[in-house]
Amino acid sequence: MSAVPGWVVTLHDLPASVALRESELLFPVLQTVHVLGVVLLFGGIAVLDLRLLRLLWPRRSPAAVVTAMLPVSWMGFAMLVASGLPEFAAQAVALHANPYLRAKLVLLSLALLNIALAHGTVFRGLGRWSSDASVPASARAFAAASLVLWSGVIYTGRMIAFT
Amino acid sequence: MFLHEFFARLSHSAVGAWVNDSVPVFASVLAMHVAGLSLTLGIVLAGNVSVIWPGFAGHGPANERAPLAGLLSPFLLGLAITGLSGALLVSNAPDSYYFNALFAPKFQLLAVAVLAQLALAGIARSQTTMARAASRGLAVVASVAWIGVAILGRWLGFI
Repeated sequence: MSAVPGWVVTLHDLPASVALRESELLFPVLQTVHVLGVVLLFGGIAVLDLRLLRLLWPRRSPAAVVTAMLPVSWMGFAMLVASGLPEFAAQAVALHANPYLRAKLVLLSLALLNIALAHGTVFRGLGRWSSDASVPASARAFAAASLVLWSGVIYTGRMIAFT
Repeated sequence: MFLHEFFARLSHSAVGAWVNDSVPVFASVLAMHVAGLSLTLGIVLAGNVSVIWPGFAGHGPANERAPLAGLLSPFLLGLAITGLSGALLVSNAPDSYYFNALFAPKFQLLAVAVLAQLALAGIARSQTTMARAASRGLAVVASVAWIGVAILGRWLGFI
């Protein structure tokens, strides 16, 4: 077994981490916020991606759906980060080498990279996507990749508890 | 006791045994439950917010006349994924889930959420003032109930 890095031990031993670990209420509350964050993030992204893939809300303009759902997704992401970081700190020693946590972080990075690439390229024309015909094929490819990557984030996230 | 018997039978079925005897399969079903719930709630909340606030996700008479058009089938699909995976999860430990203090409240709230959602889908097209007010009320009730279902579902694991 490899040695635990110093920063992990420091994080694990912070008074706030200890308090969180030993609290019977705070930890479940944080996990609940985490799940609600997942619901908002994945729910928002799923609606947005499925609309771009023509599988949902066909009467709405793709641009309007994307514009409406992006803030919802970002709010979910903020909740995920705000709850996930303290959760990790409270269990840093046990979790730092967890292979599924690492896989989750890789997939999360790829999902965020996918968003950055989409926004840096094809999403610049978002304002013109008033109908399905005006949505470029590359936007649909980004949407499909997004669904796959975020599903992977959810799967690996659930596997962390079983490893 | 019907539900308890159903989960106990599921637990002893070939599918129940397959799910419960393998960690990766069980975790996959759990992930499917989270993804299904997220999809369901994403659709529900997007639709309900557009009922409460007609300008959400696009202005226009067509959107205001039929705010939930095109959402019912994906909602039912999400609900089916969540329900199927949820039943398989409960079959892992039927007694501890069924007799958990939050199990019945979660199902009662789920019933409220589904009924309010289906009622909303039925009246959201109507243009009368009373129907619009009722739609907004139902949208609020359904949204709060769905969020409550997600919270109670998570707390089932802590009680």
